[in-house]
Amino acid sequence: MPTLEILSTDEIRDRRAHLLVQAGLSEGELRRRADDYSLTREQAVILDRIADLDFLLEA
Amino acid sequence: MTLPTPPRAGDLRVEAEKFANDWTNTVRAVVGAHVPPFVPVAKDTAVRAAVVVRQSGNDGIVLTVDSVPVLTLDASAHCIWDHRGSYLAVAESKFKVSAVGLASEPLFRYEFCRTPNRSPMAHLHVHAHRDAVTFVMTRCGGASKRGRRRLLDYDRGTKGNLPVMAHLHFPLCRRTAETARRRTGSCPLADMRSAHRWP
Repeated sequence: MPTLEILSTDEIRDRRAHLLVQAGLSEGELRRRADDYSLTREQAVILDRIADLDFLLEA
Repeated sequence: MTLPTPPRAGDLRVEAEKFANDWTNTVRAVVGAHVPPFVPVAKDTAVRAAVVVRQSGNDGIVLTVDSVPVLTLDASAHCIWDHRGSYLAVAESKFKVSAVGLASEPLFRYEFCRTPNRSPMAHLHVHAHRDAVTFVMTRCGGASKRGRRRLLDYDRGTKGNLPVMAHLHFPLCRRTAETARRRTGSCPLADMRSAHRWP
């Protein structure tokens, strides 16, 4: 059922940049609003996905 | 003396696929077959094997009462090998329960961190104000006996236990979904017997 998705480093970086564009905020602002819990659900999901991509980038 | 063969990234991906499959089946057994699957994501050339398991789509696991969304459960896990390279281990997992229609702050969240620094290894954050929980309780449904009871006595406030298990992060996904479902009586119960047994 689950389909493994394998990303290159460039793809991870592209996806990360794309997510930030989707959020419509800078990363700093996104994190600041996350601290205040003032993100929309979509933005909160984006921040979670950025954390996932960072985990993969560090691997 | 034979040194153990270092674990390979590819093998972890296979394990993570099984893990994602287990999660999907477990959550679907509790909530229903409509829940989007969990999908593993890996990097092609990783020095240290690592895989992310997260639900596809952005909606999370939505719990409904009379077909109206009431709660959302978000779950994800960052997977690595255990220290011996024998088993898939979870470096970090997050489970977040939020009320639909309230602010983005979750009601509560569980987090597990294999190598904790500032926070304990497994911890539960309760964010919700009593009013927020009461708001959710007022929307209880009749899909479970407990939900019906909560509907009758919600004005006395909420009570109940939230399961927290230290190293056993896996059952939390099912337990979080089940706890949320039972407390609010949301969602018709799917075939629980087909869900995996807790260890």
